[in-house]
Amino acid sequence: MIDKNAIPAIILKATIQVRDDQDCLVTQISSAQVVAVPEEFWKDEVKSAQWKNLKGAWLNNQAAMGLKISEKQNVVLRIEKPSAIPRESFLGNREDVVDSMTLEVEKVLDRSDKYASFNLFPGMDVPSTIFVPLQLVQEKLGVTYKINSILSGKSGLQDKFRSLLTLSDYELTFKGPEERTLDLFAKFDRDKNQVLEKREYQGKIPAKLVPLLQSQSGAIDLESVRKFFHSNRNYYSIESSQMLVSPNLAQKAGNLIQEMGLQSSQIMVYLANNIQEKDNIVPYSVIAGIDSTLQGKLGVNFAANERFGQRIWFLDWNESPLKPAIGDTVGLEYFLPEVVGKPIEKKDSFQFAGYIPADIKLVDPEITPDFPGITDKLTLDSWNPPFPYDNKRIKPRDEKYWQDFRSVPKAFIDIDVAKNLWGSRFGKITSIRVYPANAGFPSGFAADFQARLLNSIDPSSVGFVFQDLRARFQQSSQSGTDFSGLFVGFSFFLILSALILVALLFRLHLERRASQVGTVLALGATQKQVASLLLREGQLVAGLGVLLGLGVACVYAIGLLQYLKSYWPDNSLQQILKLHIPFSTLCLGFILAFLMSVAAIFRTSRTLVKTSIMTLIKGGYLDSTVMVSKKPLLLLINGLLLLLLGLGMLFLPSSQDHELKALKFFGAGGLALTSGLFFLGAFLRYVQKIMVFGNGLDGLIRLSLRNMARNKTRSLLTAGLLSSAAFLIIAVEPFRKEADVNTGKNSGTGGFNLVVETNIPVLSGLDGPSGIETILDGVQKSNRGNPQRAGQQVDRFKKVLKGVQVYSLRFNPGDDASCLNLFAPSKPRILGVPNSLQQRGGFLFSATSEAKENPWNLLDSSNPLVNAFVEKNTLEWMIHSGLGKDYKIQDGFGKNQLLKFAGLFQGSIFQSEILIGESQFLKFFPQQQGYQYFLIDAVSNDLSEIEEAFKIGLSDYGAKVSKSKDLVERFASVENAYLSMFQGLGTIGLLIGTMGVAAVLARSVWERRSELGLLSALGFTQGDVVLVMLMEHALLLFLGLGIGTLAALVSVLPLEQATSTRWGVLALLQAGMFFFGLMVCVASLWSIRSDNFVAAMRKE
Amino acid sequence: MSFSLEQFVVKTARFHLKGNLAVLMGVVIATASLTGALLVGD
Amino acid sequence: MTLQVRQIRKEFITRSGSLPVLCGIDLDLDSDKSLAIMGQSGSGKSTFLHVLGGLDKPSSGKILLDGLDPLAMSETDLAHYRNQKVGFVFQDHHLLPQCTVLENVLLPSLLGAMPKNEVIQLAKDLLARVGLENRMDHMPSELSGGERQRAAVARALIMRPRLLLADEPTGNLDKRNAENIMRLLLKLHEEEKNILIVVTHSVDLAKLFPRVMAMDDGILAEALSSN
Repeated sequence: MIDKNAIPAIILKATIQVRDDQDCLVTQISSAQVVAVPEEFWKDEVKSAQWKNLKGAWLNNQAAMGLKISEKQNVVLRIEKPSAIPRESFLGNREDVVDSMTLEVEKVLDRSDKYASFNLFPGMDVPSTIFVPLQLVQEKLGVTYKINSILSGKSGLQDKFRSLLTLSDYELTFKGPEERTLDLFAKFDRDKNQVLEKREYQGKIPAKLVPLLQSQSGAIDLESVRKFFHSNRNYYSIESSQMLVSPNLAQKAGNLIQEMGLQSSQIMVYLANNIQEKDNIVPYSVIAGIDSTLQGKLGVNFAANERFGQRIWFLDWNESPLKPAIGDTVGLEYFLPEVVGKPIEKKDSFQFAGYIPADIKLVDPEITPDFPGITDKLTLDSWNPPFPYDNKRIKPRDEKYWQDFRSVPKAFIDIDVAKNLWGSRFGKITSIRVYPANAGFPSGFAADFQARLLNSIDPSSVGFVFQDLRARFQQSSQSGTDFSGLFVGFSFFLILSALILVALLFRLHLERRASQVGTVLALGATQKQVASLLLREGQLVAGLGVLLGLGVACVYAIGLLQYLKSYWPDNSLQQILKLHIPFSTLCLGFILAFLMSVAAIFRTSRTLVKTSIMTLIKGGYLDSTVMVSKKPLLLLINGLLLLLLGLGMLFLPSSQDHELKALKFFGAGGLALTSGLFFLGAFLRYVQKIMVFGNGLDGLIRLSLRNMARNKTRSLLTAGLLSSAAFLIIAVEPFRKEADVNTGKNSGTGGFNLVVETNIPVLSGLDGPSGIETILDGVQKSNRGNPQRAGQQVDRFKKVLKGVQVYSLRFNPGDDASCLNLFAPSKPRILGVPNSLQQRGGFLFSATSEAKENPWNLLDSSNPLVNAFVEKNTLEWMIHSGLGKDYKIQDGFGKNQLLKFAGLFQGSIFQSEILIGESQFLKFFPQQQGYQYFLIDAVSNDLSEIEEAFKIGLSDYGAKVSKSKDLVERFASVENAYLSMFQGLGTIGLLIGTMGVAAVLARSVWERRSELGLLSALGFTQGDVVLVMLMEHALLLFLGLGIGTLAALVSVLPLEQATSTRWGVLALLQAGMFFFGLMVCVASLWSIRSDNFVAAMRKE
Repeated sequence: MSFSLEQFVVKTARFHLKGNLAVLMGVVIATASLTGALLVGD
Repeated sequence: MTLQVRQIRKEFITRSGSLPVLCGIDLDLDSDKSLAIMGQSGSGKSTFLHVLGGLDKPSSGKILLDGLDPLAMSETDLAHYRNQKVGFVFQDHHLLPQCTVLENVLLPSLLGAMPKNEVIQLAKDLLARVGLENRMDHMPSELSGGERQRAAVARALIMRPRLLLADEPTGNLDKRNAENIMRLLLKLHEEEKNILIVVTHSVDLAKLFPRVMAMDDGILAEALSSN
């Protein structure tokens, strides 16, 4: 036992169906998980007790909702039947692929129940789960005492686990003469009396062998059999229940045998449909490929007489119709070892090279491994093989052979030839024999050998590995879509705006108190003292503000997440995106915000106290001596330098690193923005000198400019605010993705309308007319209770499926690599592209590593690394890599393999997976059989009908049918969701900016009330006065927004998005922002329209 | 009776409440943007 | 204790060139002496007072008060000079609205460093002497114009300055209050034995002073009795 708390389980992907009384499909969930567990799984006493005698199943909330059912209803579970023998080998069972179980739903686990979200793979959604008692599933699938998972809360169990594994866990048997003896009796001794009576062994043991097994008394008893096997069959044999011994295991065993100083012998047994010599044919014969060791035991040497080509030896059985002379040509017909669709026959010629005496003592039937349906049948006639079998060809002489010799091979060839002809990706030999050295096997050999062999096999190479789930989940969630850098970058501008606002507001505030500040200075306070007093007051306010701000921040964060969720294309975000408020972040925010606010306040205070005392006492406003006292020329030069620096950043080498890209973008934009402000400062300085004259609009503009220049710092701060906001909003817009309306062959959809994924592999694929048949078959089966409806549907679908073209791709499951999955894909899905699709070509490539007429041909290359295709966005954002770079994946044996990204798709449907060529796929994942991913090219008129056809026809395979257009849009909308969020930030920035403008405006009016009174007295109407104020601030708005927009364009220009920018939308945005700002100004002025300026003037 | 600089600062702050509230608001916004950005980015 | 002023000049720089405001002022005053300066608006008299009080810097010239040259001081020392050596009364009282009358008077002492209890008592005395003993805890907004100015006077004296300056202290007051304030200033000047210089545009009020001078176009001269 591994660990007393470890839980054995079977966890599988399955389809859960709800069928009606007529056994027709109502609803189904195609990618559900079956969790078959014992009662110990439940750490809850109540659940555990309920589980004990359960004969039904429990669903989780997700499954129940998806199926729209509740307790006491029935569901049908469709699971892929486990098959030891690979289904794609010619001996594999291709018919009986799906198993089903009907279960009553006894309970539905509520969403709040922690078991309801049981999930082993990091992903966005809670999987639909059905919990079934382990025993029930084991019985149904015929795998009693077998499991495929062990769940444990402890780590470090891999070694213990390894030590508990036996050869049978690797599907291997290791049998010597003793085991064979006991096997024989276990199989046939029905009354368990250790004697095989004739009725027990007749027809089951080769007739020729019986006399050799009998004891003196004539009975076949344990002792006599034992004696025979130990004398004549003194070898150990390693075989696999998968029929073929995998190359990896074969090598390990071979090495070990050599190490131990013993003889090994490899055997490859196959079946010939026909052995033909001239017109003589022998059907359905076992043939063996044997090596020199076994050849020696049989008294032959295949290496002699090299001048003949591919040679074959016959067993010399009496009734054989084949009587070739040495050198005659013999024909062999057999099925190819790997089957896709229907088995294909091949014909081969051999040269007859000799006879092997039919001595069953030497040539034993155990050369051929057991195969249910063939080797356990009493007669040839009653064989039940998985390949096409015509028992009418059996002649009496063939039956006689079967009675006499059963599975003794009728013909022999050299092992290397056999491996070449009949080897496949599943293996090249059927058994390995171990012969003793001269003195026989040492005592304890069997145990020793098995232990050493087990030791040399790494369980992870067959997928027996303990996975640290917690680590996997954590890692996935950490390195997922990392847009925090981008977000902080955008927020940076926002934060800057807010700080500018703080400085501006504080400044306005201080200006009001200028005379008080002057008074205190006059009373003998040092500048330092006053600044310190102001600072303390500022700290008080800032401290309070920051505390409140933290609260608002939480609300803001929640709001932002809600906003993102609402824009997300599906509901997956709702469940998993929850705000996490770590105390450390709040502290960090507190410290940073406090420091920055205080810095802004400090800066302003310092400037104020440095002003001359009398100016302050008289209530004069600040005029910063810092920036603007410089000559306009100096400002211009500064501005130019910054601009050049910013532009220079754009020409930095482009890289795939996102941090760097973001830095370039914001850096260039920020510098451009600042340079714009410098230019504005220089302009204002220049403007101070211009004369105010002229009529009408010209004169008003001059007046406005002069007024703006009067308080330069205030104007610059306000312009800075506005430009930041404009930058945020404008800079984001070009990145918006509009779903490509193009759906042609060279677009993101590749010209395909539908994409189908199945849970259970469709062994022969769905290409061509046989594919259509498979679907129609499925439609029939789906309505098995209602033949009339079945017929109707079949007819209906037959018509629409006529012009449909299907391409079937191989599929290795993994994590969704698209941007819809916020978790990082540690093991992405892999598709194997068939030649047919390669030749068809299509799809839109943004880049390929080499220029080729048909870029798909790049998939052929595997020198030195295997080429792969992937969606550009997925590569950049989820896999964090680039074109031409290497990528490590694990193949089917757990070994690391390297891929090279040779082609990037743009806006394609392949956003969740990586594509490689099919032949390469089979090398990496030989155990993946059948096809699970299909691309459908159909006439779009009947699209919904075709969709339905696939859904129903493949329902037993657990099909998920999507429109390719929807897929592409879905992916694009994720990007747009992020962008909308950024623009949301921009809008907040804009609000801040306009608040600043409004504050400045209100202040201006108040300050200059006497001046305005003067204007009134001079004959300006109220309207004129308002117009002047408005004009001044409108100009400020215009300049501020303009700088921001230009800065945004500078940032965007070098990017490829620049060309696809919708300039019209940008212009609209600009106008919108300007108009909004103007409205705020008007509103502000509206409130003072009735003020009496003249009275204010008089007061002065 | 006592009158210290601290008290003076507090009195002054209170007296200029309106203006200080405006500044407060600015600080709240700055803090919210900054901390909010940190929280969401996390 | 004396005040010596030598060749004080001040120019304001404008866009159209420099504008001379003070054109070489000389003055000598001993302690216990008081002086009224008269002149038209724009004559520079306020500017001169500001320079004397360390509130403004001249373009050139020298000032010595008891051997201290404020024009040669650092900003910090100048602040101390303003705090301890000079008392200034403005035309607008410039009392801080957030503090009580007593607190306003105490304010200069916070900025300097004087032993607390002593100074509080002194403040209360001063307020009694200016007739505001019952208004100590009131806010400036609750006082009349005249009362406010009296509080300003008390504030100017809390640090016992050597130089007491008043720039049109009665400009905003009615005739009766104006005369009261002037008399108050003179009385306290006599009690404290400091140097008092007052700028005024009222001939009647200037007559209260033993010495009157006139500022005209930046030049200070003895006023002729007939003016």
